[in-house]
Amino acid sequence: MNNFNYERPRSLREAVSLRSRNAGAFYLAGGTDLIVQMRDDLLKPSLLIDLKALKQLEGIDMKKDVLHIAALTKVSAVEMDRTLLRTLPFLCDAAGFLGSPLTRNKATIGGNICNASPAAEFGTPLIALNARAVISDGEKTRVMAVEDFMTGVKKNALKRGELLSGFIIPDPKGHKGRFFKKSRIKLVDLATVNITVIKKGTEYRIAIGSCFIKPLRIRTAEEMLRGIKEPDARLLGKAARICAEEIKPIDDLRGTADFRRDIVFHYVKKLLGELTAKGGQR
Amino acid sequence: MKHYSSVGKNVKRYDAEEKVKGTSVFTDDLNFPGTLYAGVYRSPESCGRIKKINTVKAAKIPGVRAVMTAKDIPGRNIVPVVFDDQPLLAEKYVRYHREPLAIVAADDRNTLKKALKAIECDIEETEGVFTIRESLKKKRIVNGLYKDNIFQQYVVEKGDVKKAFAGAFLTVKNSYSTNYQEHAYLEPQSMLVKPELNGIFSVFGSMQCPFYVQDAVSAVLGIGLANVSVHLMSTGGGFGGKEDVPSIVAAVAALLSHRTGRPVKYILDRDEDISVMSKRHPSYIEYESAFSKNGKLLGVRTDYYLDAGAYSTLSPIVLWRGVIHAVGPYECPAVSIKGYAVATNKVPCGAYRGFGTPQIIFASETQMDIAAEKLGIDPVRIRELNAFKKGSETATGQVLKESIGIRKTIDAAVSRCDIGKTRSEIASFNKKQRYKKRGLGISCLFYGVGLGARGGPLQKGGAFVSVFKDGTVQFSVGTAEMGQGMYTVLGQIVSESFGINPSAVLPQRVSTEKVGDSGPTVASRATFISGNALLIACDKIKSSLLSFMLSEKMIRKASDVKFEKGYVYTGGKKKIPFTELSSKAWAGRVKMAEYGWYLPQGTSFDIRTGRGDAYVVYSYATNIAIVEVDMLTYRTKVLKLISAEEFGKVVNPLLAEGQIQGGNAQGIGWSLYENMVVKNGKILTDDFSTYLIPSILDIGQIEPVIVEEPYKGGPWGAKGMGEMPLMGIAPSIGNAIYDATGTRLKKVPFTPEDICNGHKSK
Repeated sequence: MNNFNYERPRSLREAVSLRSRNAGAFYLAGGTDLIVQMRDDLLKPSLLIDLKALKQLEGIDMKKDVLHIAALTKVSAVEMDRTLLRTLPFLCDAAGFLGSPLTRNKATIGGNICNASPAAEFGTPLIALNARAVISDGEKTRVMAVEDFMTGVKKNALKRGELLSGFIIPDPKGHKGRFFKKSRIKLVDLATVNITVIKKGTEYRIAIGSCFIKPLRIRTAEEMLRGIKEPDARLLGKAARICAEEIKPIDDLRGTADFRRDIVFHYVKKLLGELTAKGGQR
Repeated sequence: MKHYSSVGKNVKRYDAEEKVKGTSVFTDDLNFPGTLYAGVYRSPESCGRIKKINTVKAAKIPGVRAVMTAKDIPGRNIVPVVFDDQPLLAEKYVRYHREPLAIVAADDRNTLKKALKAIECDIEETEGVFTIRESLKKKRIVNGLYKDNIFQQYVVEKGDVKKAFAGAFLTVKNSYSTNYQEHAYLEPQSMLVKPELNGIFSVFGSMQCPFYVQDAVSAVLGIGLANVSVHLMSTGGGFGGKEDVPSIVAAVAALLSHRTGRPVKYILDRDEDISVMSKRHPSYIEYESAFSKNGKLLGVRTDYYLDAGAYSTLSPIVLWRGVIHAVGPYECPAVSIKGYAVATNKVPCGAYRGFGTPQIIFASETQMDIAAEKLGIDPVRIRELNAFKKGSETATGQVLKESIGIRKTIDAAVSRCDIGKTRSEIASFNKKQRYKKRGLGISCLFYGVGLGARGGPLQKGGAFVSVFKDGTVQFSVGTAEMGQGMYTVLGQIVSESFGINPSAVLPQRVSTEKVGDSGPTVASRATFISGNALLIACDKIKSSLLSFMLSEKMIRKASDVKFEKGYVYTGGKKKIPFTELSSKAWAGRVKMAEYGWYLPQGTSFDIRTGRGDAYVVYSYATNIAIVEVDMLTYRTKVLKLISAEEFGKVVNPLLAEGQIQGGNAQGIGWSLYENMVVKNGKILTDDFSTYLIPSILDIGQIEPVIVEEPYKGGPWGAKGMGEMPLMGIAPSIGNAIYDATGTRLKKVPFTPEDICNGHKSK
């Protein structure tokens, strides 16, 4: 690990200003990705801006039917939040699959999305929820879809002098959803495939991770199902088939492309089936 | 039946508290003033001729204290194991990726890293040999010393194999292959070498075989063995991975310490450790079995190939054990077993729990299952039909005389599992479930305890026991505590001998200074060999105590005396506390410190004919696995693993169960998760995010069952058991997957992709 400077700003403005003045600066949230990469000399920050003193960037809050999750909220807090467990339990499931309990107590939801791994646990549930990323430059904020915020492998839409302050999930009620992660071992492993499917009324959303340079929504499949209350097995199979065709997986150590398509086909079908079956919970 | 007071009890581990509190002292915890950090510059290529190694720039970096290449080695440039064909630092050729080329010592780790980056080499790359198949073509030769690319071969032949196959009702022929396995010990390889006065070097480290390390350091420094003292630190796991390769780690630190005159610490990072240290050999096996109509095994013909890597290291012995165990714990009148350790341009493989047997057991026990199905015989029944009994003859013609527990383990596993009920539950589950299928699989095995005939001069062990005047006892042995609980088990063996509480018996840290070369801590031999050596020492002390008591008129005849429950019974109900006797004996100037030396008797093996008594005695095990396969993701979950093991008299049931749990978990890892990816000889999975070992959530429920069948030649009847729990797991899971899905897997690990492909091709 290289030597670096360390700052622990007391305000958002100070944090952003430190970042814009230092080209080699990195924000430090939970550090569970950053420190590992630094140790392996994959990243060599000249300055670490530790955000942990910014307590306003932590917490989960429901205001007027809009759900706010601040960026520094710990993964374990998402996993065990009572409001979320009631309204969006599949988001808690996604949190519960991230790393190990030790990792989850350090890692943050904002860090997971900023790190922008195609396999990010929060990628598929957030984009399926149409979640929006709130970006601050210390003065003003701008908002964009999480789907657009993650731009590629380890790439996000933040400009220098900006910081991800949290997420907004509009109208979080009435979602039925399922999160699924296929990994080689149960915990402490990255996803070979992860999938979130959501049903809201007769609107369907399908998001797939680890099968492209970033998590993907499969809108053709969603459109095909739109308006149908109880799609039959043939239709679900067709939607699943589209998903398996539209993803662009690669062969890697965690699985082959063919195997990923297979998993996506079977599981999209299975999860949708669970959501649309009568009495399907969650 | 003898009544035991200490043996057979769940005595708490001697080091339990320090392990839980984190106060155990590991090598990296040692900090002598002025300690330097060592590192190794390694070959970027898998195969080629070394034209130049440029260390000038590195040597000039401030804080770099020494940079050395092969030409700077004062002694011999070797890693001593069996054939001594491996240089410590490559000189003319590199034969595997990341082979050591130069070594560096620096003031701190950052400087060390800079120095390693500043070294350059010019290697004329040549095409390497990366698979067993390529190697056997002999188009390219890995090492000029072995013109046919074969380090070692063995043949074991018995009976008329041709006739057996010609007359068989059923023959089953298949090929099998297995991948590497990484030891994944918690503590990476670690050594610290410190120069002392008078030309002595102290070596502190994590290892299984202090005497191997002593050999290696003495060889590279060109100094006497007496100039090298090796001290065992707390060792965070070995599993075979700290048998021979710690010699390399220590030799590197020793060379740099010798050059600089300062203490030198060499601790491997995990990625370096995974890519350059030994592993379980990948294998390729052709296996043919012949059966009679009623299920009797008539003949076995097998060719067993191990992918040994670039140097022979331990492969000749690993292969030997595999060959001896190739048929399994079954009577078989006709065998032809051929084994080959094949050279490739890859990291040298070595010892790993099971030592060349898990691969061939995977083949033989899968064969057994296939045959059972074809013959319409229950897979349990076919094993019972053929299992060893008293008077049975092994593949090498050894007649088994006592302590043969295979049938007992089959019975124990079957009844613990309640197999009839379990099978019908599985059947009804499978009928109901669409996406999930369950299955049950069985495997049996035997294991030759200790080094066996091929161990030659290493088949020995020493022990030192000292009784103090307050009745407390210290002991030293030459085998290592590496986390398995040896100190505690041996302490129980000693306390049983004196009839005292185990808490009064304390082990001394293992060191080459304390007892003579006792061979390696491998082959499940520590309890058996060191236990017997300790009992010899204890008996000597007890015999001195008896003479003393006779001369002091404390007893009338020696046969009256019993050592029990902290007392020495001196005839009838008369007794004297052991503490009091110790104090009296001390005052009477009795010799209460003794040395024991144990030599296992009765192995014979002719390497040319492949016949003879291979091992002194064998241990036995039966595994039953119950699995569930998700037919959408093809993920296999082990629901339950029942492992019934017979290893003589159990000394500490809790520690033995711990060994079974751990070995089973490692077996599950090898079977289902651990998949080393190697491309052109380069290991791509060099960390735990790419090379996956199972976590507690992946191993399911493990149920150890201990079966006793005491062995007269063992300490209090004990044999050895450390390796067995891993050895037969793959076939039990493979057979269970077949039972669940109908897909027969012949390649380890069983990846979801393989099950998927097998399923689709049906």
